This record gives sequence, structure tokens and C-alpha cells, in this order.
Amino acid sequence: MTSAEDRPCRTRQQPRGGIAVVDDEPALCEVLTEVLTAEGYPTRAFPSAQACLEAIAAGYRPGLLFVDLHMRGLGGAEFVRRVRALPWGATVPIYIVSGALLEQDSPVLRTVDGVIAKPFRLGDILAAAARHLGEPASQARPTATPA
Amino acid sequence: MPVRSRLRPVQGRRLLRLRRAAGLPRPWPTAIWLTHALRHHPGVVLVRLAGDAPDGELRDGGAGPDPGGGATGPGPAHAAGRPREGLVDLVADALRNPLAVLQASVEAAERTLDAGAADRGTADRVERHLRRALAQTERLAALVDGLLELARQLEGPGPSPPAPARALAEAVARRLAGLPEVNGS
Repeated sequence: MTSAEDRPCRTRQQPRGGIAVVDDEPALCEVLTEVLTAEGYPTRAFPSAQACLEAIAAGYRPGLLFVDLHMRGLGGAEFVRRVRALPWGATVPIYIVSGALLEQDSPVLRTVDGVIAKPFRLGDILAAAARHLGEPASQARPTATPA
Repeated sequence: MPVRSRLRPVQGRRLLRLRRAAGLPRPWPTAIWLTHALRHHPGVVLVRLAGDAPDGELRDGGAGPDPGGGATGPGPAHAAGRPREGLVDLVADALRNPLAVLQASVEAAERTLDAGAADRGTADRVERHLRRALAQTERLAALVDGLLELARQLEGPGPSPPAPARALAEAVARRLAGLPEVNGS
């Protein structure tokens, strides 16, 4: 992951939505959705950027997005640009999750909260989710109560 | 089992021209297409290596300095930024996607087992994760076969491929193997 640590956590102002996984790799969508949902984060997977944009246009408001770069049709960079152009999307946390070779001077990098390189550890994904959405309900520890 | 191309390089070149004549925006539209091409039409990939790779692609995708030295994660060159459209980038994406699914599936199975509930649902989830992981190993094996076939064609009998093609192929191989780049010769 890069750059995420340098950015302020924006989600304190965001409503707590679910997580959107935008990737044209169905198996990856499946495993991420299963793991994140099991951890207590409501998650929706989208097989294309266009499908996610349509859901957003219909009122879907995720609190965090994991977006692949190389996708059929609309690419991840253009998807991020379009989301950022929306009033709602200007500050929503977005992470690029990609196996592509990337360079530091990319414009898209300046508009996302971080990059998670494939192959990744699930811990990286869950850490990003916890950072922006908080600990899921299933993981929340009860506060100490007097006996 | 080695993957044998049913296309000769000249046919691959013709296919590439046809794609261009048809107005397709990019000769390498997706990593999935690359996977298919490596499995079934390595000659097309060879043509791409031998005749169509511009110098910039070689520089960007293979022999240039690794821009991602400080990135985390097991893969090289992930410092983030502009996605590159070269062959190396597509090969990297094609290989790292199944690797990502494989790793995530195995970790997910591990997490499911760590959760402790030894019921039928747990067993089903673990089985599903492992099946997904196995499917990715098959996919990776096919990709590696395709790349080996490509290398075989480059190394095989007949006239040697042009120097830029060899340099690009070596850069691909070195990057895929995680070896340091070689600058100059």
C-alpha cells in the first residue's frame, strides 16, 4: 500500500456505507465479498466500472471502494475520475487494487487513498476497511463493564 | 504438456493486421485476451514481440529502472500510478490476478478454519475456497505454459528474432522471475 498513510482519514465525515469491489476478475470479487461480508462489512461486487457507476447513479453509496485498473470497457482510472467528479464521490475513500505495473507520477494516484498491489494479503484489505469504516460490528470489542 | 500453436507467426501477423483493420482500439485489450492468446496463439504474441513493440514499451515495461522499490507487497514495482499498456504490464496483470485470487482464497480458508466452528457450513466454505485456489493454480499453469511456448519460439530453430524482440523477451523473463533489470549490454 502506498500513500494511504499520508492522507487524512476522510471517512469521519462519510456516512458508513458498505464496500464496493470493482473488478472484472470474478473469482477475486467472490472471495473479497465473502471475506469482507464475513468480517461484518456489507460488500457488493461489480464486474465492471460501468456497472458500479450505474448503481451509484441509482443511489448506491458505498463508504469505501476497491477498484481494479485494467478492466474491460471503462478502466479503473477513468472510473475514479468520474466518481471524484460527483459531489458525493469527492471524498469517498478509494483504493486501487491492481496487478499492473504502476508509476509514481500518475494523475490517478493523486486522487485515491492508496494502492494495494496484487497479490495482496487479506490483512491489507481489512486494514483499509477498518481504517475508513471502523471495526466491523462482528469485531467490536465490548467495553469493560464493572463486575 | 507444452502448448502448441496452431498458427504460424505469419498468420499471427495477419491476424494482428486484421484486428487493426477492424479498428480495434488496442491490440491487447485485456489480460484475459492475453491469456487466451498465450494459450492458443503464441505466434501472435511473438509477432507483437518481434515487430510491433515500440522502443518505449521496452523501456517502460522491462528494462527501465523499477519505479516501485518502496512499495509494500510481494510483487515488484507497485509504487502506484500510471497503468502501462505494454506487453509486460499486461503479462504482469494476467499473472498477478490469479496469484491474488490464490493467495486470498488460501487466506480465506485459513481464516475460516481459525474461526473455530467445525460445522458443515465451515467445511463447505473451506472447500469452496480451496476449489477456487486450485482453479487458479490451473490457470497459472496454463499462463506459464503459454509464456514457455513463447520463449521456445524465440529460442527455437530458424532465424534469430530481431535484437529488440530478444531484449524485450529477456526483460519480460527477468521481470517475471523477479530478477534485477539489466541496463546496457
